[in-house]
Amino acid sequence: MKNKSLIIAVLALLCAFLLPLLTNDYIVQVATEIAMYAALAAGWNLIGGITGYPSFGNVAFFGLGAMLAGAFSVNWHWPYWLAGIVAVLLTGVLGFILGLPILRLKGHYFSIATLALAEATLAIVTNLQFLGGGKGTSLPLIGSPLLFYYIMLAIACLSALITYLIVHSQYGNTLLAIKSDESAAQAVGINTVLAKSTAFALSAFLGSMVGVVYAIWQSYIDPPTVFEPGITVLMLVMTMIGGAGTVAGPIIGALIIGIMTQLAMAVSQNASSLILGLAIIVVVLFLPQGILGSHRSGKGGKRPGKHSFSWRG
Amino acid sequence: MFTIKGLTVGYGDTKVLWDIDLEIAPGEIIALIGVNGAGKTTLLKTIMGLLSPQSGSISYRGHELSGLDTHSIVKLGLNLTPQGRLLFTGMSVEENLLMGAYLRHDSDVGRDLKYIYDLFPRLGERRRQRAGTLSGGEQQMCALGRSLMSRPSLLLLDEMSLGLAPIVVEMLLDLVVEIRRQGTTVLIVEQDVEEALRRADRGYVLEGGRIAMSGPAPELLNNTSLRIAYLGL
Repeated sequence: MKNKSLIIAVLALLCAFLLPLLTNDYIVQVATEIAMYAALAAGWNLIGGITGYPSFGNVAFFGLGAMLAGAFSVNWHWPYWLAGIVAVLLTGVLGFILGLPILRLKGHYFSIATLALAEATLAIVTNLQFLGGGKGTSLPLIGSPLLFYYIMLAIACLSALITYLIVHSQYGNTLLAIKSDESAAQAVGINTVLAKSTAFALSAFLGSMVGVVYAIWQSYIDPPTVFEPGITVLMLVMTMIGGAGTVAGPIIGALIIGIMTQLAMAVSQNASSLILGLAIIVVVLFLPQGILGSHRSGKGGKRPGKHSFSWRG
Repeated sequence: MFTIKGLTVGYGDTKVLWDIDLEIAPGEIIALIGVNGAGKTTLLKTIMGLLSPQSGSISYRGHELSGLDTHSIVKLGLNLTPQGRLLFTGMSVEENLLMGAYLRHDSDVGRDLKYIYDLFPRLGERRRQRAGTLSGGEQQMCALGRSLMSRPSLLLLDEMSLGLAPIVVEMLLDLVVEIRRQGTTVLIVEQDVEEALRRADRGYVLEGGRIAMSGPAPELLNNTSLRIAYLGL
């Protein structure tokens, strides 16, 4: 089973790598977005899927990465790679610090707090002149569509690799224990505050990294675009559809939503959101655990039987 | 070795425990008894740092526990087997047991795992099975085993008998005596007052959040008012 997964992963990567040779610019543009969302969803999965804390505010990290990198490079004339690295590190640290109080909340309370966090971040960023204020930031036009496709693809692979390493480590078990029963996790001696905040920081780190690349790819960013709550919703929906808590789930979810969006647009430009929404409802109704199923649902204990299909076997 | 002094605990304005004094000597088995809502679980949660006291002190081997995080308290050698087991239901039995050794970095973990399987052969048979699929008694064994895997010096057992057949309860309580022989001090919270007091050295009776009575277990067993209130005799 493990070898099979590896072969599928290598084949998928090979296809993704060769894709630009076989198609046109439009498809490359779409594929870049899919890779971008795959990385964002994988970042969300760390806190929402693996740790069991459904964040509705992860777009804050994406937006901060974009705005900070833009501000550093425009206002302080830093080379963009340096601005990007500093932005990503700052956002990661911020994620950790914000996680300390916010992750004391559970369930819906946590979700609402993260929603507020994203909106508050948007308000602060909009009012800071250093970050370009409300009028946005223009960045120099560099690179080619092909270059950004490969960068986004690399970040998506990095996100999947980080997820894989976490899931197969002692730290992954720690997070699973927290998702399964937080009181019990405390009772066995897990420093739950530290473990959760670290997961939130990693989630912020990945989100910010995507934001940094997004900013220079688009070459113009403004707060309402990069703090759009719909981006968080997409991360969440993609992860849920693919399979929360799994390594490949967010990637599969991003692929499905990305392709479905294009198909819906092809059917009807005006009704595309409606078609997409209906498609999501159908998937959620018939595959509540996502396509891969939950690879290890913290909760419940389904007895092994002919009806339980697991990707991992 | 373990001392609680003047402990008062509440949820907001509602006080649950008033001015609790309790002492445990090394190697003792102490039974904490009382009806539903008397504050037994609250007391255990406060000891483990899952709740913070409003006043009073809890000390263990010279360390003040109130104000410490739960993981620091576990590090000091205390361990709670929570009410309702609270297993990691999505993990296998063995993974649950190994989670119990979360803070240990010594090389004896494998040996202790074998010891748990000797103690509970059923767990050994089902080591790869998901903990959520175990029967109630097996889940309680797994929860107790998980606690033992931390090699606690003071073990707190909350309502092990909940929802279990009397024969399983007796077997588990007999194991408590065996665990004490291995050098662990035990505080049992039980609704099965008679079975608990039979195996304990001393007992405390909680009533409405206060210690109403305490003394050697045989004395409590023969106490008329206690027999009427708890044993229905």
